[in-house]
Amino acid sequence: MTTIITLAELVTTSTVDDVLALELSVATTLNLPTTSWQPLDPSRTIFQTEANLISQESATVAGIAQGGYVSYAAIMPAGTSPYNDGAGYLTVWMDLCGENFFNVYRIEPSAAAGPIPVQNITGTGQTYTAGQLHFQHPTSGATYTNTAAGTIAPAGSPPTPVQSTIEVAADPAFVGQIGTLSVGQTAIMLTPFPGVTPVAQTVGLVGTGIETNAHYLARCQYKLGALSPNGAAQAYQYVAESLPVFGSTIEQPSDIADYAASTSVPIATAAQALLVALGFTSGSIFYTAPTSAYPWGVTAPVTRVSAVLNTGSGVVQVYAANAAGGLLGCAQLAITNVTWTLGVATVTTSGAHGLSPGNFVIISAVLGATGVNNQIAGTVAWQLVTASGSSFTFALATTPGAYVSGGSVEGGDLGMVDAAIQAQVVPTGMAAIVEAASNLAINVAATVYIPTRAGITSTNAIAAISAALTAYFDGVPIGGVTAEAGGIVPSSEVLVTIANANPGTVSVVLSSPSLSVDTTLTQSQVPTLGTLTISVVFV
Amino acid sequence: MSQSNVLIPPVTGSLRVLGAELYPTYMNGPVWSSYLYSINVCLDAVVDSASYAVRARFPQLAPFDALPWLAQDRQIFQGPSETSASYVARLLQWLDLWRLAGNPTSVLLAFLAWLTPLTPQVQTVTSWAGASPGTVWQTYVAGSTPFPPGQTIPTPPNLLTVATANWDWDGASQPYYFPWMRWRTWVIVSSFAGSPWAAPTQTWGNGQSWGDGVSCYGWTGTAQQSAQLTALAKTWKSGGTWVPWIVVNYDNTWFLETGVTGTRLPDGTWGYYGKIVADATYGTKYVSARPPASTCTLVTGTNDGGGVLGAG
Repeated sequence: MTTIITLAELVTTSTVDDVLALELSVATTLNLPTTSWQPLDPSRTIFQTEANLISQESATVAGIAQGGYVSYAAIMPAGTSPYNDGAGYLTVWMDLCGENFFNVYRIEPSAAAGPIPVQNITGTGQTYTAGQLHFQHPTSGATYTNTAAGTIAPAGSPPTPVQSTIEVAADPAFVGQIGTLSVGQTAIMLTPFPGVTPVAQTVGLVGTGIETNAHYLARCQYKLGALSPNGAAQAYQYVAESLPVFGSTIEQPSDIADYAASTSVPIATAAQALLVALGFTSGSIFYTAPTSAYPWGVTAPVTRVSAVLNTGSGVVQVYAANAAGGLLGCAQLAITNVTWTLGVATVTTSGAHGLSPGNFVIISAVLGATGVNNQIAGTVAWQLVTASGSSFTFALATTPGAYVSGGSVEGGDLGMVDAAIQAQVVPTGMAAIVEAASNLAINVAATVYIPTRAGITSTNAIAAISAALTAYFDGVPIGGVTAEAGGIVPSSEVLVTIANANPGTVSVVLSSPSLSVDTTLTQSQVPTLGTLTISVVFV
Repeated sequence: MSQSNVLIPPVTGSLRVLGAELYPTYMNGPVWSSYLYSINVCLDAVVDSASYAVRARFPQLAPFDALPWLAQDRQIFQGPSETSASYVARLLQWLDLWRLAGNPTSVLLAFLAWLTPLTPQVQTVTSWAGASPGTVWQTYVAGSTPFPPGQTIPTPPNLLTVATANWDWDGASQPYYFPWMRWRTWVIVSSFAGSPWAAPTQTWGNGQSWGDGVSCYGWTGTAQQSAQLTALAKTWKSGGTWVPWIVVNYDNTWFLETGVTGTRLPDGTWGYYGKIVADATYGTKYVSARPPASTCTLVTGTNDGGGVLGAG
C-alpha cells in the first residue's frame, strides 16, 4: 500500500533531533551498536552532521511546498525576519507568489505628504527653495522636507501673525505610518527661520504602512474577476484597490535584495548575478503624481470596495473607502465654467467638489476651453493650487480658450477610482459610478477592569483601546461583516477588541453599543470610531 | 505513464539501492552497509519529500489536503458532493471559468458544479418590455456536462428568445420601473422527482417549530444550502445584474420556456407576496400571488442594493 505524503507533512520541518533519532533507530534495527558510540566517536559525529544537513534540507522542502500556493504563502509566519507585513506574516514568499502567479504587486508604504501650516510674526516675507526646510513630528521623531519652493507671507500691519502653508513630504527614512501627522498636532521646525513657527495641523498628513498579506492575497483573487470583459463585481474591487499611492514606491519585479534577504530562499551570489543579467534588477518607481503609465493614483490605499447594483436604475454603484473611511473627492462632477488669468485656470463645478489643495483632478469633455482637458498622451492630470466650495484652481501657462459648455471632473481619490474603473472595468452598454462609502460613527462606552500588577496607566490603557477599535473599524467591510443589506458590526467583536487591547484585561462591561443589539449598516456604510468613553478600573 | 510523470518522474531509485551498487566491495559488508543504509534512508526521505513538494502545487498530483489551498488561489471551490476527480478537472479550467465571469453561462456552470454529480436542468431568464418585448432563456437541460475535463471552452447553454416575452415577474407599472428592469436575471434549478431537493411538505400547525433543525417551511434544503446558492449567483453574476430570486422548481409542468405569461409562469403579480382578486362572496379578497411551495421554492437572490423593491 502506497502512503501519500500529505501537504501537512511536507510543510513540517524535521528537526535535527528528529532526523538523528530516525538515523539511530534504523541503525539500531540493523544491529549497529549505537549505544556504545561515545561522544566524538566518528560514527556519532557523521550521523550528527548528516542530521544537521537533512534538517536544513527539510526546511527548504517545506518552503518549496508552501511556496506553491499564494494563499499559503500569505500566512507563512515572519518570525524574526524583518520582512514582516505588519500582521506577523512573511512578505518575501508572498511577493514572489503574487508577482509570479498573478502579476500583482504589493502596495508599498507611503510617505506622509501635504501642507504644514506656519505663521510669520515678522513684517518680512520669507522665500525658500525646494528641500530647504526641515520639520519633525512632535512625538514619533519622523522628519519632513519641503517639496517645492514658495514664500511665507509677512505679518499684517499692525503686526498680526499671518498663516501660510508649506508643502512637505516625510523623509525616506520615515516612510509609512510613522510619518502620520494628525489634525491638531504641531510639527517642530528644524530649519531656523526668524519669526516663523508651525501651528496646529488643520489637515492631517497620512503615511500608510505596507500592504498586509491578507489584503494582497484578496487583490490577487479579485484579479480573476478582471479576466472577464463582463464586469464581474470582483473586477471593480481589483481595479479600485490596486491603484498606486502617491508618495510610495511602485514595485517592479521583486528586486534582488528581496530574494537575497529571504530567509527561506537563500540565493547564491552567482544566482543573484544571473538574475541581474536577466533584467531582474530593482526597477521600482517612486510615485508622486499621475503619469501616462500610471494615470490614476490615490493619497491612501483604497482598502474597501463594494460593487452593488442599483436595482432601480441599473447603474452599478461602487462604494469605496480607505482605512479612514469614505473616499474624498468627486466623480463625474459637471463643470459649469472655466476662466483663465495670469497663468491660473479657475474651474467652477455644478456642486461642492470636496477637493483640497494638492489633489489631482482629471478634466474631460470641456468644449471651448479645451486646453483644460487632460489626456493620457499629454497632461495626465492637474494638481490643484486652491480648492473650496464649487471651484478650484491650478497652474496653466497658456490660455485654454473660452469656455463654451460641458465638461466633467474626476477629482481626489474618489475621482481617481472612478476614472480607473470607467477605463478598465465598465462594459459597453453598462453604467457605473463610484461613490464614497458613508461613515457611520459608532460611540463606544465601556468599563474595563485591568489588574494593577499589569503596570498600565489609565491613559495608556485608553489609548490602546482607542487604537485597537480604530484598527478594527478600519477593517470592517463596507456594509458590515455580511456585506449584504442589513450587514452588521457585531457588538461582541467590539467587546473582544476592547478586551484584547491591553494585556491582562480581566473583564469588560460594554454599555455602548448594546451587547444584545448589533449595529446595523446599510450597504454603503463603513463604521468609524465615534465618541469613546472608557472607565478603567484597576483590580 | 502520464505526461506529468514524464516531467516529474516518481522517485524509483534510491541512495540505498544505488549505494549498494556503487560502493567498493569492502563497504558492502554487513556493518558498512548497515551504517550507510541508516544515513541514506534519511537522505532518500528528504529527496522524496522534495519531489512531492514540487508535485503538490499541481492539482492532478497534489495530496488531498492541498486542494483547499488551490481552491483559495484559483477561487474555484469544490461542490459539497463533488468527487476529487471532477474537482481537479475544474481546478485546471480555472482561467477558462473566470474569463466568463459575469455572464449567464458562468452562473449556470457554477450551479452545475455545485450540484455535481447531479445534473439537473438549470436556466437563467432575462426579460424586458417596451416596443419589442422579449424573454431570453438560457438552458442546460438535465444530464448536461457542458464543460468536461480537457475542454477549454464550455458548450454554451441553449439560447431561446421568446419574441413576445413570456416572463413577467411584476408588471411594468409603478413602483416597478419601465421596462421591467431588464438588468434582472432569475436562475431556475429544476428539482424533479425529489432531486436535488424534495418539494416541501411542512405546513403551519403540523408540529414543527422555529429552529427545531428539522426543516424549513417552504424548503427541504438547509439554510446553509440556500446561502450557498445565493453566494454562487453573487460570485459569478455581472456587477450590472441583479438576481432577485433563485427558483427551485419541483413541477416539470411549470416554468417551461415555451409557455405563456401567467400560465405556470410569472404573471406580473409575483413582485408582492399577495394580490387582490375578485371573490363571489366578498367582492374581493387577498390571496397569495406566488405559486404554492409544493410547486417551487424562491431562494433569496443576490440582494443588491439601492432599489425600491424590497421583495423583488
